[in-house]
Amino acid sequence: MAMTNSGMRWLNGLRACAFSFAVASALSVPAWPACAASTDGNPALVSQVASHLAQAKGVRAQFTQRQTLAAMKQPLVSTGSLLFLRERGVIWRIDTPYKATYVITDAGVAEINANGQRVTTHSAQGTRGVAQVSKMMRAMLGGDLSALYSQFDVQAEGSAAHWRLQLTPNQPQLAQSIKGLQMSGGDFLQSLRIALANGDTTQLEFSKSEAVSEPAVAERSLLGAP
Amino acid sequence: MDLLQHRSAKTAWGMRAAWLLLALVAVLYCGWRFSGPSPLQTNLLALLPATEADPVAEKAVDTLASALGDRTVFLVTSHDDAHAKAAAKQLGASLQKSGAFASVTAEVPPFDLSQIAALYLPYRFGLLTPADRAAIAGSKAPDAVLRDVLAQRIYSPLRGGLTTSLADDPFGWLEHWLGNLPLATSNLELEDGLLVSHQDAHQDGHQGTATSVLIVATLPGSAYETKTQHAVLAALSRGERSLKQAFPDVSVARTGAVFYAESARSASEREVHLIGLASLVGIALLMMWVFRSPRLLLLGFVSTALGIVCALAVTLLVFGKLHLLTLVFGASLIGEAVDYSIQYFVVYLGAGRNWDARRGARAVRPALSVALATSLLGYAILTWVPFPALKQIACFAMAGIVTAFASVMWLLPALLPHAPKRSPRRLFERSARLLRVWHRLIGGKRAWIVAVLLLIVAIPGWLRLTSDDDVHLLIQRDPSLVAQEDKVRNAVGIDNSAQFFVVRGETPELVLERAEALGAKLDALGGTSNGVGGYQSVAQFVPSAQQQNKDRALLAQHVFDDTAALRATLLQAGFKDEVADAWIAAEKNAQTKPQALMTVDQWLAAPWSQPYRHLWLGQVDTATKVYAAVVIPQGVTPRNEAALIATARSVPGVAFVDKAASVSKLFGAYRVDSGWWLGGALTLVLILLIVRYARQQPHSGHAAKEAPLAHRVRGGIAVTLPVLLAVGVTLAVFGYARVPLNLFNWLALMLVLGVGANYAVFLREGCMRADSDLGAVWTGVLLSAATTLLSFGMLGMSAMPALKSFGATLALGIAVSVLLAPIGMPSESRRAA
Repeated sequence: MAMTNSGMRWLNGLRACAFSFAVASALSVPAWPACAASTDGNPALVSQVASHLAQAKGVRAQFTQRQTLAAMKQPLVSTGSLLFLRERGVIWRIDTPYKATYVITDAGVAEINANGQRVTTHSAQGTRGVAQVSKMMRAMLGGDLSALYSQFDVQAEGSAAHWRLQLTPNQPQLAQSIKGLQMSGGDFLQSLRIALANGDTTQLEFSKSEAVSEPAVAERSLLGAP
Repeated sequence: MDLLQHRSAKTAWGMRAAWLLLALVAVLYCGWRFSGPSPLQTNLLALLPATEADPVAEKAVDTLASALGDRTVFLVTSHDDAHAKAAAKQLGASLQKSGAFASVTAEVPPFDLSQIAALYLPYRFGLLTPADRAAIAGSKAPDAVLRDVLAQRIYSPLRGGLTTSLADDPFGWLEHWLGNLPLATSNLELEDGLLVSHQDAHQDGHQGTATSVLIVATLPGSAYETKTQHAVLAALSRGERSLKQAFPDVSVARTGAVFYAESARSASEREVHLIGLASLVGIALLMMWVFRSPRLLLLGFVSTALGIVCALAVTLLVFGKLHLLTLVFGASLIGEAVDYSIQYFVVYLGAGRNWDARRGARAVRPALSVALATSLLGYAILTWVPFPALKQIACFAMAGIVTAFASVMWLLPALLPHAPKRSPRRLFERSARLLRVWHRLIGGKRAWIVAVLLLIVAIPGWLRLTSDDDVHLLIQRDPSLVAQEDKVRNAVGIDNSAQFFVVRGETPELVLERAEALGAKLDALGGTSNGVGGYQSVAQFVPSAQQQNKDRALLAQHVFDDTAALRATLLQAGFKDEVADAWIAAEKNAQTKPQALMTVDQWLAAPWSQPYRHLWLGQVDTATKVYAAVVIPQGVTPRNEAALIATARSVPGVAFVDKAASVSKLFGAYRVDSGWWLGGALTLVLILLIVRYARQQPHSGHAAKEAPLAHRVRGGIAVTLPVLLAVGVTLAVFGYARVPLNLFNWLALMLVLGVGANYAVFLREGCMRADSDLGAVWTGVLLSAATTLLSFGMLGMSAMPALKSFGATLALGIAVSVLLAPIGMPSESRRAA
């Protein structure tokens, strides 16, 4: 039913979208214009970030994910690395506590299990949702923020050297599942916090971010043909 | 003398009174019928016969058509996002206010996704996807597998569309299962409470992303009611007008059965008026030109009007409803019904001073009777074809011409007691001369030469004949409406297929099992070139009890056999004690209540299942207690259709339905049969005419008693020859013109036989009459032909392809049979002095 489409799509691609956006924005562009101390130029700051992202081709980083879930005794921690390429997609590689690789491209989502086999366990709706989200992301990174603003209210604080973004869903459908996103960083994205409506939270910390323009040979085959 | 006159005057008045009464009754009946709920049927689908041998499949077609037919969809598009949304809200509000719709949905209330999961949650231990089933059943080291599944669920950066909470569904099996529901099959998103689609579009000269907002409305009544159609169109035009003022860059596309129905209806009404008016005016002009008497014109119209009114009344009585197609055809019947009165008038004008109305009627009776018989035969054959519309047309036509005949025989003599004052002598003389010349050219022995010549010319045409039975050729849709529908389809992204599977069974459980079997086969086809790319089936929403029990047993055997180990796995992954315990206890609970399986009724009761409820037909036939469901494949192409039909046959209780193809096939079958029927009808007509004209004794010179067979049949053959050649020439013309024939062309040929024979009959009868004026007779024949040609020719210009084929064939056939009618004249020696 069409009604559930948007919510599902967003839930499905949410983390991928948020991570990718956050990660891409971490690309350091040395000289940002000196409107540094703006505290209420929210749209301006956000669009600055986005326009600088238009120059980013790809990012490689390490992440630590910490999930605080109601059903769990303790917060769950996983670590790994990721590769984000604007034109191609995202490779999300988990190293601990278990090994798995997820590849998100316009064509869909695939999971590569420990044996290197491609396993697609995700439903048709899910993959289509993610594909749409990644397409939207590319538009966003191309400077078109309309899709982002259509789903979120964005508040930016701080300066170019130390910024914080708060995203609150403005669609009731989305608000049923997500309470908000918080991102902060400086030259790079440092942390991302996702708060779900049911009380669970996910905290992501990024480190060792560096810019890349081309994937490694092995990764190229994962991402498929451009 | 006085007494005779007095008595005849009394009978004349009695006759007039009787007919007046009949006319009043008929008019009152029609008036009463039309004043109530309109008996007019405008639904073109009602024309089509039941094609499925299976009444269940037929009901499935009807149910689907009505489920989807009451929905009207509007698409408000603009390059400006805000404008599109505001315009859509405004249009939705104005449509709602107009009261023409039962409900208008522009703004969608926020939908709680968890409702869907909530429905299935109690039954989650019986719901597994095939992949999970295989993983659980085939695992050698179940603990390791379970740990992996848990890890995937917890640490994966992506979550599928519908999510379940970790506490309720730790391994994510229910979430996977929910992900397989065929829910999101469109390009629509929910933004600001509106259903929106973003697409690259070219509009008003600029390229870019256009935002389209969907408004769905339902009708308060049937899409085929005139009242509903008018209300909808009025509301829409008002709404669009105000929209244009506020947002000039916004365009609105519409689709829905109501628009097609309205377009078909107004086109038909236009044609009824056009054909009727043109026929009347043309006939009036012709008759005035020939007869120069307004009185005769009036009487002719009285007779014809009586025929039409009685035809209307009889058809309404017999069928209860009148289809618009019948009316359109009926309008063209005017030209044929007036032929009978024309023949009478010809005798009237030819009689001069010694005119006796009754004698005139007696004189013309043989001609009219034979003509009536052949026409009735032609129309009667139409009733054999199981198309409701054709039966109606046949009934209408037969009632009409019988009444016209009766009125000519009994009413007109009462209205024409006195001799004619004038007679178009000169016209008759000229036409007599024309007839003589023409007869010398083609009549008598030369008829055979003409026949052979025509055959030689026609045969290559016959060899080029092709046929095309596609039902889409016969029922045409307004192209602008089709374009708008395509726009809406592209925006929404639904591939609405008119072909689907019908699954039946004695119990709902059996239907679900069969639907699952069919689904499995369709999935198997999925990877190949015969794949359908997805399908919608009730079994996807509600698995059969058999399947649910199997999955439960599987879980019990592989996962819950060792609850201690399971609990340890969960705790090791990080679950809280109470969460793990609660989940295991829930499963134990479900095990002890084997009745608690998911059923179709529960699914139907859920509010969110509303858009999919048409998939379950329920109990179709209370007599035989048959349940049925529908499986709609997404992409049916001519390429994979054969594979789908084979798949349907391989599963018991499943039928593949393709209404359009079935009708086309039926048309084709009947088209072939109608060739044989035409031959049979020809034979009948031949025999009838031979019998009629065999009484002609050969000229004295031979022994009167020993007339050989050849002589006896010569009359009948000569009269049939024109119409026979007419049929042949018509077929040849279609062949040369490369127009493919369809069923309606062949049915029209039956009528060519029935109606075209009239003219040769009129001519021959006229010649055989004692004191006939050949010129008058020929004028009468030509005039009759002209009026019929005018009416049927106008029918040939109809926008409805079925009627167009009818009219064109008829006009051509009749034209040729009139031209060749002099072949049927008796030779000079046989004409009465």
